[in-house]
Amino acid sequence: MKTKKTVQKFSRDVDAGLHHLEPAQWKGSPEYLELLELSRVLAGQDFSEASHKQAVLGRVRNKTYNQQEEKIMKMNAKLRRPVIILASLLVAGVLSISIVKPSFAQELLDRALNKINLGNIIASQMDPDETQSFPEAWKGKLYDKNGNKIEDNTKKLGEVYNAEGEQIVNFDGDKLITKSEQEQRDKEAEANRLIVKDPAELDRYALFTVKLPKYLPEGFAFDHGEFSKGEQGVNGKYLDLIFTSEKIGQKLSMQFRYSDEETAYEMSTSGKMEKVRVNGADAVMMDDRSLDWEADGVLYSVNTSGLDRSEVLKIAESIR
Amino acid sequence: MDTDKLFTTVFETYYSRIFNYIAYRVSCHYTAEDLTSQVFEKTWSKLHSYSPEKAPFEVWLFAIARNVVNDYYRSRKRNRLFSLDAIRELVSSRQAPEEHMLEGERSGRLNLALDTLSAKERNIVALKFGADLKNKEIASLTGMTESNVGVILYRCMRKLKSEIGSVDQL
Repeated sequence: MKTKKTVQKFSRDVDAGLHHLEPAQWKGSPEYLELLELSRVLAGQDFSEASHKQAVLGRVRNKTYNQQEEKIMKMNAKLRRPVIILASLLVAGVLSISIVKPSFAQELLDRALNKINLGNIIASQMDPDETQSFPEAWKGKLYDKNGNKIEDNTKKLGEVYNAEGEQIVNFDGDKLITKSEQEQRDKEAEANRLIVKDPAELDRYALFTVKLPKYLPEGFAFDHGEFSKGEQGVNGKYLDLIFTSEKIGQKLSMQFRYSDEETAYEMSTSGKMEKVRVNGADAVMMDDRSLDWEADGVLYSVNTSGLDRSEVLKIAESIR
Repeated sequence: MDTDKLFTTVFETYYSRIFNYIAYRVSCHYTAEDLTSQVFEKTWSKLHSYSPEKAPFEVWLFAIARNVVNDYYRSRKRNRLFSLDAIRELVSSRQAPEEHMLEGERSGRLNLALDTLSAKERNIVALKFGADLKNKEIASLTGMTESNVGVILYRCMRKLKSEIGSVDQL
């Protein structure tokens, strides 16, 4: 009984922090005081004093930053080129290529009517009649050309503007890009571009064997190839191919990518989407205008306008 | 950016207590430092998921620390079976050098005394005097009752006392 009381008292005293106080304030038998004294010594040991606190903090920061960066890199890789073509979406028609998918896009893609997964290429077909909820991130930031706030997307709009009256022409993630910002971005991208006019030169930079189409519709000609370059030199993973046409209204461009996790991409349409075959490989045809497929470790994307479906297929088939 | 700020505050506030808790559980200074950094790495990555409704912050934080140390001992057990170090240890029939590395900071007498405690008891001592937690918090961390924590703590102190003898020698 006595022991039980002692245990309880000790427990209470230590819990209340009595051992942190001066021994003069302690009360109890000599044995009890010795236990408090030992508690005081134990609590008073600061082993961390001899440790390298700043080095530990540095290590933690380094590790977490690296991990975060890896995470972001991985995320960006998947979303490098999300061509989100949604008729009911405000900026549909004006967006070109966005670097990062906006936050609401995944939710939209999750509701796809149909999905074609080719591994490093994923294509989704959206319901054109389904009204998309207005993106939270853009609420209060968009106006029509008369300066009226746009708060829903029930009616189709032409041009959109920000509060300052600048036209919005694109988005990057949730960030809305104004016309002048886009021009600035284009300018910067232009400076980091390597233009290759001679088709025979393309292989020098690409990380894969460049196979150009052997067939081009009448009036079309190869104009140039484009690589991006950074501090580490030319990025041989992505190659844009630009073709010119003598006929007005006809366009042809391609993008070839070295196929890996980083270059993988997702795209969507609210129009037509079908699975077709290109030289024996599964491919996605969208709106009879574009074809995407993978062959021999390369992701191929052929984009056209003003051409027949059969012509698009013929061009693609001639890449071998 | 906010996580960064919040993390720095957490680090500054709890560094010593986390380190001391770990130092009471492992005897090697370098291991203690390494495990402390692991605890804060985990804290950083989990900070966004902390919810005050589930547990007070300190309990949550020291639960991370406890798991890191437990994982360390688990992996050491596994390594002991296979690693060259373990064989070397057996051949030399001496304790691994790390067992004594905190010497100089902690007296050999205290070290030896701590070694007589079971893992569970040593954890309670570490939580009480290294982490400076209340019995209630220790209870919620260990799943024991508050009074049981008190009983074990008392028992530990008596054991340590009888091993150490005079506190002056520490």
